[in-house]
Amino acid sequence: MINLKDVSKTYKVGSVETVALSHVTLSIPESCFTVVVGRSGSGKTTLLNLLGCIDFATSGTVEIHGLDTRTLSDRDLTTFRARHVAFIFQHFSLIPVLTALENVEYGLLAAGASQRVRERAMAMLDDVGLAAFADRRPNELSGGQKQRVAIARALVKEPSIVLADEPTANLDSETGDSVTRLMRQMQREHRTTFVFSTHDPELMEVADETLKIKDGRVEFAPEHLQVPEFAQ
Amino acid sequence: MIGAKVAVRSVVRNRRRSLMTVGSIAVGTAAILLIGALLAHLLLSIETATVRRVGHLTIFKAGYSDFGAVNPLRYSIPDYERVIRRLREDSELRSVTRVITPVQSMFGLISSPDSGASKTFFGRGVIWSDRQTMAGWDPYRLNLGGPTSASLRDDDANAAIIGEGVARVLGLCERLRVERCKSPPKPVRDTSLAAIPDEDFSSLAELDGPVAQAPAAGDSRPAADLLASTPNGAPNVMRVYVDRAERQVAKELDDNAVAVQLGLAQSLVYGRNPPEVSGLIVQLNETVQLPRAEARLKALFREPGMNLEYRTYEQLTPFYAQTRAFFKVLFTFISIIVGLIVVFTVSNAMMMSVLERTSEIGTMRALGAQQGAVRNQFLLEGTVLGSAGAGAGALLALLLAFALNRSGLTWQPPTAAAPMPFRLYLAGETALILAVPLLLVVVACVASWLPARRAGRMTIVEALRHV
Repeated sequence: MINLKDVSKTYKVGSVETVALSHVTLSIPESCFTVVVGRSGSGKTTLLNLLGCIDFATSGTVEIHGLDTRTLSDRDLTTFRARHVAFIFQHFSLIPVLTALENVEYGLLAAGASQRVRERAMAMLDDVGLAAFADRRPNELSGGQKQRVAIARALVKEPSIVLADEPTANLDSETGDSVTRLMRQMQREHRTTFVFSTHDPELMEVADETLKIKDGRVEFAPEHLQVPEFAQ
Repeated sequence: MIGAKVAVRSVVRNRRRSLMTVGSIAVGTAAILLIGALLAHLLLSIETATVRRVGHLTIFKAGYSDFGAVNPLRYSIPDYERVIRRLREDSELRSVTRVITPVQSMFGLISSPDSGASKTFFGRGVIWSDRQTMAGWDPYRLNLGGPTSASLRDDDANAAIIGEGVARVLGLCERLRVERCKSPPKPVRDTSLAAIPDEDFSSLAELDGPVAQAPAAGDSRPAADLLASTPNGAPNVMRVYVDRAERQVAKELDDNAVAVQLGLAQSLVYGRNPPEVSGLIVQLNETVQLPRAEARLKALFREPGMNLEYRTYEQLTPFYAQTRAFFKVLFTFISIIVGLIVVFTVSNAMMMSVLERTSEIGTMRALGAQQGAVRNQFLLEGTVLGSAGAGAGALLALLLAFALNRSGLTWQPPTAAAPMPFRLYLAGETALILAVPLLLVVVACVASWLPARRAGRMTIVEALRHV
């Protein structure tokens, strides 16, 4: 379970302060395929960053599996992230000098795995249909293939939470659909909590839950995602 | 392991920049090694030339170093043959010794009966065969050129070798076949000195009773008379026959040097008194044996009747120690300059790499790589660059040294009397070959520290946002 309590995030560039999130309170249940929608600059990415423990709230509390992320040191937070959280980025963000297989292995190794690493990575690549491309470098793969490798890299360590920031934005609609179907399938198979941001209306249709964010505030959330004592 | 893979492959991926960086380090490494090799060769050349001339150790009567300059004859070694025997009998000393030979210093006037010219001289009485053996000392195989001509026979009692400058002043160049040697100007006779006889010093010797000297009938070599004073203060004259002129390492030496057979020098200096020597020269097989020989000499000098002291070749020739100190400073200075260039080159390359791969760093951190892991990856990258550059530089230096040593180039170092082959002493400098590249790898690693630290401490969100 992910709980956000009265979370605000303000960026300061020079003397200019920009409010990215303002008093967000919500709860995301486990094993749920949740979509965060909203315009550019609405705060979707900031929300995902906070959930992924790669950014810190200016105020409020982010609790993941009952753990207040503010209380952890950078080292502990990194370890926590390595074990429990995985990312799928809009720009794929594969390591260019590693092959597809090695990129998937990286996800496992960063999580501290030491046994059957190659075997597990290969199996995951096979799951996303890229076993034949294991030795290819990212620049030898298409956009869709890169994103599949990114999905394999995210899921190979069996995280409890996968955060995907507009994962289909850089793909054509057909490839985007295929990636969406894959993510949904993998989420069901691994019973992982998926949270991803998107502009894509078709993605919203496959989601279990949809959150709408506008100007840093949650504009719409299903009743059961709202925490009563902090509900707006 | 995967971090190392990323580091190595990133170096290969940025081929052009990596090549530039590796090239800079390689040139720096090669430069330091070649300069080191040149200086090493120079030092060894100087050492070889010095040891050939003065040996490793010179044994004097105790007190000679401090007060011998005032009255050298008072500090000569009377029973030198016993001392030599004792030294040669010592098994430990014998195992490290190449030559132990007596030497007698002398100074006075030398004149040519043929030209009538005369000048002051200083020189040595030596045993010709020992002098020849010493001149062949070459443990570093530098091939500096051994003795310039065949040794004089030890029984050639009246022979002399003079400096080319002495030959020039005495007007003996033509007869001694000295090249590029000017003839002396005709002396202008001062009529007021007409009453004074010509400088035929042999007549002076009769005043004190000459030392019996073997006649040298039929000796075709040019004659010269040596005038010195005996311990009693009486003048003594000996006739010598100049076998050849040899160019000395410094003009002062060249203009004054005279070498004669030991017996003749002793007769000249001591007259009818028992012969003594001013010192005993010890030449070792190798310079590294010097501490061992010193320790043994100290022990031997504690024996009764051995009222002796010694000086090493470094103490006797401050030029060597000064040159070595100067070379050390020069080498250190050049190494620091090259080191700084490597620091800036590697640092710049790594900074560029970190900047270009900001997004990749963000990804790695988001995936769970600790700050230290990212930092170490970039440190490793710098080390890989440093290792490749240092390795290539060492190889380059070895190839260049090999080529230069076979190029046939010659030059004349400060301690040589004649041009000698230009050589870089690299192959024998194992410590240098290992230490310089290793040092530059460390320098490259240190130069990567700041960029690597910066990479490790990047804010993940900002790194991911970087395009």
